[in-house]
Amino acid sequence: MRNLEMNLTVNGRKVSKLAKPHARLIDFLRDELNLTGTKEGCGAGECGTCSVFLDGRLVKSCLLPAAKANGSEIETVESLAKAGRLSALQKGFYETGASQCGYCIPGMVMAATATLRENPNAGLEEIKERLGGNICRCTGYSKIFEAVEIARDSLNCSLQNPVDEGFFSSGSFIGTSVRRMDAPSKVSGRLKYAGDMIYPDMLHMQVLRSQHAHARITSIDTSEAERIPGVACVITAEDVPGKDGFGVFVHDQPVMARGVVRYVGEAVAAVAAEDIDTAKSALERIAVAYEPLPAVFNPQEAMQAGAPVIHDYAPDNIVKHIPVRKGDTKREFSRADLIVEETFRTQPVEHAYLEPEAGIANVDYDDVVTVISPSQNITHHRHMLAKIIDKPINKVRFIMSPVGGGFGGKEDMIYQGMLALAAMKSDRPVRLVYTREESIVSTAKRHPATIQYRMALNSTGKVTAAEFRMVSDGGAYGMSTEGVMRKAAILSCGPYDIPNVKVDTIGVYTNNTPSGAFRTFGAMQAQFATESMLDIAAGRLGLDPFEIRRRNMMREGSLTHTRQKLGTVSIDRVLDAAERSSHWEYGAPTVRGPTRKDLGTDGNRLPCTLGARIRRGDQFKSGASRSKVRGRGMAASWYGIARTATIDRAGAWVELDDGGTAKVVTGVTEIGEGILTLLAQIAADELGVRPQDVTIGDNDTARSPEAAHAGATRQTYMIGNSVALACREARSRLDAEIADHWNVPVEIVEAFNGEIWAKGTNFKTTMEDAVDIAKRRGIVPVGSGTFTAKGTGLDPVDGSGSPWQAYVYGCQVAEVEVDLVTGEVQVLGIWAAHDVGRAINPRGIEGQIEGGVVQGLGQALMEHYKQVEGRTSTSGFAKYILPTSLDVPKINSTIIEDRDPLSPLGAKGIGEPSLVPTAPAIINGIYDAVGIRITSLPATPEKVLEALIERRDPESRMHLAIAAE
Amino acid sequence: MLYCEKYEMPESLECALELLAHAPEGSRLIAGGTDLLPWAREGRAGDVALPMLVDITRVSELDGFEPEGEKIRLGANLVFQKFLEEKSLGNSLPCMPFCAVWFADDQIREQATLVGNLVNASPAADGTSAMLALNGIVETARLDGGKVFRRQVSVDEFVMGPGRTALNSDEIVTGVLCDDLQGYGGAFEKVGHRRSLAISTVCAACLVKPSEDGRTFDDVRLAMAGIGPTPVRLIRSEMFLKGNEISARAIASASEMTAGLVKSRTRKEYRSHVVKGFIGRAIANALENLGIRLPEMEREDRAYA
Ligand SMILES: Cc1cc2nc3c(=O)[nH]c(=O)nc-3n(C[C@H](O)[C@H](O)[C@H](O)COP(=O)(O)OP(=O)(O)OC[C@H]3O[C@@H](n4cnc5c(N)ncnc54)[C@H](O)[C@@H]3O)c2cc1C
Ligand code: FES
Ligand code: FES
Repeated sequence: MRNLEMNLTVNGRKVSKLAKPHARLIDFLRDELNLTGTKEGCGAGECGTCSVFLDGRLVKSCLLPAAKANGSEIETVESLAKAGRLSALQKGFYETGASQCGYCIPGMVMAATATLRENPNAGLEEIKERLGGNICRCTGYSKIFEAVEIARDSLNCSLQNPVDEGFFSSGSFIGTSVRRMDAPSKVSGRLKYAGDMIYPDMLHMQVLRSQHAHARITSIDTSEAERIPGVACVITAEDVPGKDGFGVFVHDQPVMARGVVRYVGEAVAAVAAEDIDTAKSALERIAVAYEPLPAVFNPQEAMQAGAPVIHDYAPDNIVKHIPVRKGDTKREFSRADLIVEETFRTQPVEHAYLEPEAGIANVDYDDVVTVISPSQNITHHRHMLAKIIDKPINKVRFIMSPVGGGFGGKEDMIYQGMLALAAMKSDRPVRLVYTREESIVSTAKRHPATIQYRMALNSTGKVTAAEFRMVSDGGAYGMSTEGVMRKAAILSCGPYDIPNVKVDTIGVYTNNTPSGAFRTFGAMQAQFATESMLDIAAGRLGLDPFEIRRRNMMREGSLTHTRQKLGTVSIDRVLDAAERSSHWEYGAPTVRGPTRKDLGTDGNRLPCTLGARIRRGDQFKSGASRSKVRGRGMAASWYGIARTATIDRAGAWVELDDGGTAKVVTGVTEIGEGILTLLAQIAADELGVRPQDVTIGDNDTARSPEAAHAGATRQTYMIGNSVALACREARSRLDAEIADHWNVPVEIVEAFNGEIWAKGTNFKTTMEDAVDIAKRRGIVPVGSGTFTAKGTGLDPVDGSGSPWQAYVYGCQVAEVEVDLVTGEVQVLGIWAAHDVGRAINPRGIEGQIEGGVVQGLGQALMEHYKQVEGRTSTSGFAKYILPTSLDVPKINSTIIEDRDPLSPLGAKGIGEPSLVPTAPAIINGIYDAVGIRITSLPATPEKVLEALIERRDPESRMHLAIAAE
Repeated sequence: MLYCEKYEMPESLECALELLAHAPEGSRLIAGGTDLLPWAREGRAGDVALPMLVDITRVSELDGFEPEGEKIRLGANLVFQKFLEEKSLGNSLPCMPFCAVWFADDQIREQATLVGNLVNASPAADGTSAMLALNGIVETARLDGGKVFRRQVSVDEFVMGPGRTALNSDEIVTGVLCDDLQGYGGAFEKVGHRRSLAISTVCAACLVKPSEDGRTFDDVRLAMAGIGPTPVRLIRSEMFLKGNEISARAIASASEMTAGLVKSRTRKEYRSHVVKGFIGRAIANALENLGIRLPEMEREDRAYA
């Protein structure tokens, strides 16, 4: 092998170093120069997290052999902020809240920089095109476009409205768009994710994965692999000292396959070696003998008698069946005016967070086994790992590294166990970084579902009964299936007061890639079906779709499907808001698209026709509209806040610190949604300091109180309230001292924005001084808080119970354009109205809505994790299709605040709910445009065109349109 | 991961040919690398170890483009982004800016060469159909006894099937010679599963030249890819339109002449329908890019505006 002598300029610095002949530029930058702002999201040119300038031209460094950069000038994201000052674009991203998890952001900032360098006056369409190679999974791109436009205008000195945080007017930090505290580290590329971290003496792990969907392992021989120089250890299930098994509900999954492999991609053994290449070559020397077992890939077949059994404990292959029963559906169907019957199918969907799994484990000087990883639930992971490695729980420590996107996919402890075992066996730190393909093939997906639905209505549009049966493929391991089935069952028939329901949700084991937690946890699949059913029913009855929902919606005092009596209900306001903001034209969904008058308002984007930079102005409209038909659809939704059908809890510690600053310590998981900033706002308000004075402690099981997982839209609600309670305790300590010091009643002591005063007196001082006074009096103003949400379990027979104390509601309208030639659907506008309880950071909420909508759009139109006999054909981003900047609609958000009466802050949440109504709104919109009812997702161009052809008759519009071309 | 024992960056064609001639079995040429690197990943070829990669992007003879009589020669190192940046290229090859703007993204286009696209010979390649419409001729060079031998092969004959070309293992493609069609209207239609980073399910390159009075078609070129193992010229539609009046009716008739065109094994019916629609759409857009609009289309635009 002949190494390359690399001589080049990187960020203005001359660099001379050797590199492997096959090294890519990204390897050279990250491994040799430690410039880790350049990320590897896919390694195949499909995502743009690795974008750098090569002699002034933006390229994807994962596709660039390092040799090509020899003699060149490279600029990475680290070069943009000069002397620590953010560039105009970085500032734009910071001010607009364009960074969420931040993993795409360095590449995105680079692409935006290239855009404005190429054309300082680039318009919105050109900006979108030039960002087209960079995927963002979190933001829905809206805030990113806004950031680039703001930077463009500020560079051109024509900025009209700088982005205002708004708290100077409101006198509170809650309800204002305080800028994200973590944004500067994200836009500058400084933030280190697990895969960017280096430990001295660190080993590198590679994992041997099963190529079989179901097979018995008759032997594993690792001896040859172990003898390779540079290999520190090889681990298998044999190395597990304790009780092997993890999972969110049932612990049915071993750290590595134990005697049996149950899906393609399952870990069988792992190697830790001095470098990745050595570890890879060792994998090839591990001899595993398999004896293939009969496999099953279809949940219906798996439930049949005689099907291969995947786990001995579940001979019927059923992971969980949740029944919900209310009233008597049979009777109602026999006397219904209208019965609607349909079967819906949703596809498996990949989370596609831009940060592939990564982690580092070591055994520290106190023999504490420590795992650093972007885990969404370090609390539970610590519990499980302690049992697996048979250690007292305080000898196991989980530290959360910044999470580059999770969406539920990082709740499962799929690799942390292997890291811990290897660190214990080798007595050295071990790092594992997944490739994109590894991440896709081995981690959980959104449950695919088949939903058989029957709905009975009377002639006024009142739904009198519903029968809902959902069968879901849980794949090879239980993961979150049980919870997903439960949430799907509870929310199934939507926010509608239906007197008689019969609901069954069944999660089934197969030999497919496991299904697990994914933003909405089953609610999306269920409500896609419900909202499609209501559209069909409204069409048949000649009712406006808002109207039919109003006639059925839950109200205060309504009984839910699980017979929980509801307190405050906001769906009426949410429906009104969406209807108003979209200027919805009243009428039934009877393919009104071609004649409706509410289309084409400025709440839409322009249809994307590509070539903004080469087209003459007047050509724009024509190409866009030829043989295309528009329409509109709507859908509503509901969602429960915090853990389902159980008690939820979280804790926090707070200290009012020297200088009038504050420390908040809680095991919160920032997965990109901005919870740290929210907590700083809450703490600032409660403590009387400023958000920038608040430091949030690390999420570390050895250092912070339990706050548990990022999921179930529980963080604002659970952790926000515990922080508020902890702050109140710290403040009461401080206030007592200050009141005593000033000799005033404690009730009149108030504080805000770093100042504290006694109301109606002349006493006033800074928070810095106040803390000093308290300390001189011998008191450290600390506080702790714990918050409880009380849900009750469901009855195993009829499903009755009160799963949540707080519910939220949403509604979205979609405007779509269907191409009659290609079957492509473009979503041009979304009007989203969501109840969030109380808006703590409005910009952050918009970001959650925009991100959720675009994930919903991906599921509605293009995403599909495909498997044949358990083997995927979509193992990379070339085949697994994600929405790009050119595929997303303009998103118009309306925030509704219906405060939660049962918690101190009144805030509820938005993380997951924003995704629920998008797909049915789009699908209903397609129906409105061209009269085809898509019941199986995604609505790909092929599927849409096929349905169009089927529907076509000699008179149809479509035929004329094609003929005219 | 694409591993190699040696990575060579020759600076002259002879040097490159020399390296290739003596390269150990299994060595490969590399241009932009945008096909080669993603190919060597899990789910496709997996890790691949090659003895040598010969990178030709520093061979200056292969750079740029130059007119040659009624034709224009595109060097093997010409990347797709140039069709958007170089005005004169867009003027001479009117379908190419539209082809390029649909191709991958701005960053891949900085690396991806047109010639790499041809040699890779993917049935879904965007460059092959465009080059077919432009009557492209692939030019190659090889070394024999210290002398450089060159030959020319039409794109039609060069692309033989998925991943198969008429290139010999000792040959380097030096460029493509194609028709200079200044004055034509150009268009490129494409459908994939999204609008950026999209791989074509079907794509169509189109060039039209109206008569001087603007009433009839003097010349029409139509080529499509994604519908079979190799790109195809739509000769029947072209012949029908040549000399015919420029009208929606004529275009509609040309759109019906698609029997037997789609040879794909999958999604055949879908592709057949798109092909029909794309013929009309491509011709209309190519005309529009010359400023000619058919009255029928005006009407439709208004209806759906
Ligand atoms: C994210 C992404 C998106 C893409 N999008 C598109 C798209 O929209 N449309 C599309 O058509 N393609 C697309 N591609 C495929 C690819 O970019 C193109 O095929 C590209 O044109 C290949 O050129 P290259 O220079 O990178 O080729 P390389 O990868 O360097 O080489 C490709 C092949 O050609 C050979 N070769 C290269 N140059 C020569 C030469 N001068 N003589 C002889 N042999 C040679 C190589 O040995 C190799 O076999 C995409 C790829 C990626 C990664
Ligand atoms: S890592 Fe380079 S494009 Fe994804
Ligand atoms: S912020 Fe873009 S991927 Fe997370």
